[in-house]
Amino acid sequence: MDNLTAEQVKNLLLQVADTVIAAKEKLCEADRNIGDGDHGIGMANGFEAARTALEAQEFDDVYAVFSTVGRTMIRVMGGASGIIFGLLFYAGAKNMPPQGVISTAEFSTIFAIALSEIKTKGQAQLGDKTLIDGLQPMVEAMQDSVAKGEDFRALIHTAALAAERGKEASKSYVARYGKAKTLGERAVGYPDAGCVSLTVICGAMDSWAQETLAD
Amino acid sequence: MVKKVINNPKDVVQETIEGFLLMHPDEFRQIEGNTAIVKTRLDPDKVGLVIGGGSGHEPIFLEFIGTGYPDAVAMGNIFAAPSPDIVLAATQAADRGQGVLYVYGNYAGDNLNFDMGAELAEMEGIRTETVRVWDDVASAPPERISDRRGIAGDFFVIKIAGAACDAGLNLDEVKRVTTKARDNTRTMGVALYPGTIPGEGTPAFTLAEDEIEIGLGLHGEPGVRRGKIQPADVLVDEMMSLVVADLPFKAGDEVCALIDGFGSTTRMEQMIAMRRMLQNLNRLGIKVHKAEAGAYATCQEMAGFSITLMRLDNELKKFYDWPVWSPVYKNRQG
Repeated sequence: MDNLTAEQVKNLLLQVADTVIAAKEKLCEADRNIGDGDHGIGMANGFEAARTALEAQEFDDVYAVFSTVGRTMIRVMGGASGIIFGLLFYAGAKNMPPQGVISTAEFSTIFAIALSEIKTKGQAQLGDKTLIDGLQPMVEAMQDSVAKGEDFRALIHTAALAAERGKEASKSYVARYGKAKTLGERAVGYPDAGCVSLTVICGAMDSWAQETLAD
Repeated sequence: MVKKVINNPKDVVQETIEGFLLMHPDEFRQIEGNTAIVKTRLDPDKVGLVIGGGSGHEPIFLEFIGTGYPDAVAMGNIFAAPSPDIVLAATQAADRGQGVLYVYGNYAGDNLNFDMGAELAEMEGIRTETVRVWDDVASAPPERISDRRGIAGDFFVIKIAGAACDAGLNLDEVKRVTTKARDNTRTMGVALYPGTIPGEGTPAFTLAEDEIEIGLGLHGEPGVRRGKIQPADVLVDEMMSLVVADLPFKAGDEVCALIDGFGSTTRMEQMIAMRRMLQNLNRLGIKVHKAEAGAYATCQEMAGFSITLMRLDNELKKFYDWPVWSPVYKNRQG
């Protein structure tokens, strides 16, 4: 599978939305350990609005699918996660000329741009116990996969595994950002809630790819 | 599940806003399609003042609006910063061609959303400036002061900013005065019982019967360390020693002092803490210009209290005493 169509990207992100909404309580719990416990509420609200926005229209531009999801999340969610997860889908798509299909390399680039913009805006680095701890290894794994010429199934599966590894690694970090940063050593042992969300998002993409895309 | 006087948890933010506006139908209105409110009458040619933050901390930020107070308030969901679109709507409503100052607590979510709101405003031709409040001495050491959180000190900084805007200062001057207020304000808090998110059953942290959380988070997030509950005087002494040493406040200084009871600590307890705080200030040779007690920055059921001091100079004193009318301050002006 060399390319995804706009319709496929829409279905992919609808599956992501449904999965995140279903994971609301799990995400609140992850946040409650070291934050204020509302992460799942915001994520579920954001993806409910994104799903509504996706279902309301037909897309012939793959980038419009991503930017619709991201901009909707930024508009409705608020909080740090509204900007950060909104940018995950919006930053790499907003300035792209329209096109009907997306390659593995272009798909990977969306997340690479998002990583760069989230780092700049949030001023967080790897090891600060933020989304970056999952997103950076994920982007690096995707770039490796593209360089090896792997297909979409392999690309998305590799991304999901890397995000999972990043989430596990985030457990050992002291938070230097966000509401957990005042906890110091007390945050060690818990994963960053944003990293947990990223694994849910990637897990949903992986399930969709395994179910939908032929070998 | 904590018992609460709410309807559908999804509606708490909008219904809170509606209740407040129905109380004050002539003074304020909702900005259509947004969880944001603005004064119905805005003096022409003055700098706009927009504040905001997560809901659930009332009276801050929602009710901090009025004459000599902010012009518009951008509200987010419970404990979550307002989105850039809400910030933009509040900015457009408050702008009178002189630019807009943002004042809000220093949290990652507020910083990200207000910054993007400022970008959107700039595209609309509105100049904005920002002062982030970081008064919580428990949340980071002095060398990383810009990592500190904003808590009850928001009240002092917003009050000064509102007066400076009302006095007709330009945007750069309003920012300078507000920054000075921020830089002279310090707070320390303790929590006795945690708060919860309306509609969610589980508190953000749990405390044993004899435990307190020192350096609380205003969103129910854990503080910096646990300690045993102590008599009020011991708590006040420990909290004040951290506040006083941090600026530091010195003999001969003049201050405004605030006890924030978070809404769940009784008036009686506030007065007992107030007594010790004012006795200590007297002993330290620090003159008190005004002392305030009440509920300012709250966190649902969270109980406990914080102590805030703001060091004054003549300019800050003038603006602190500026005649104002706001639902949270109407009886205590001037």
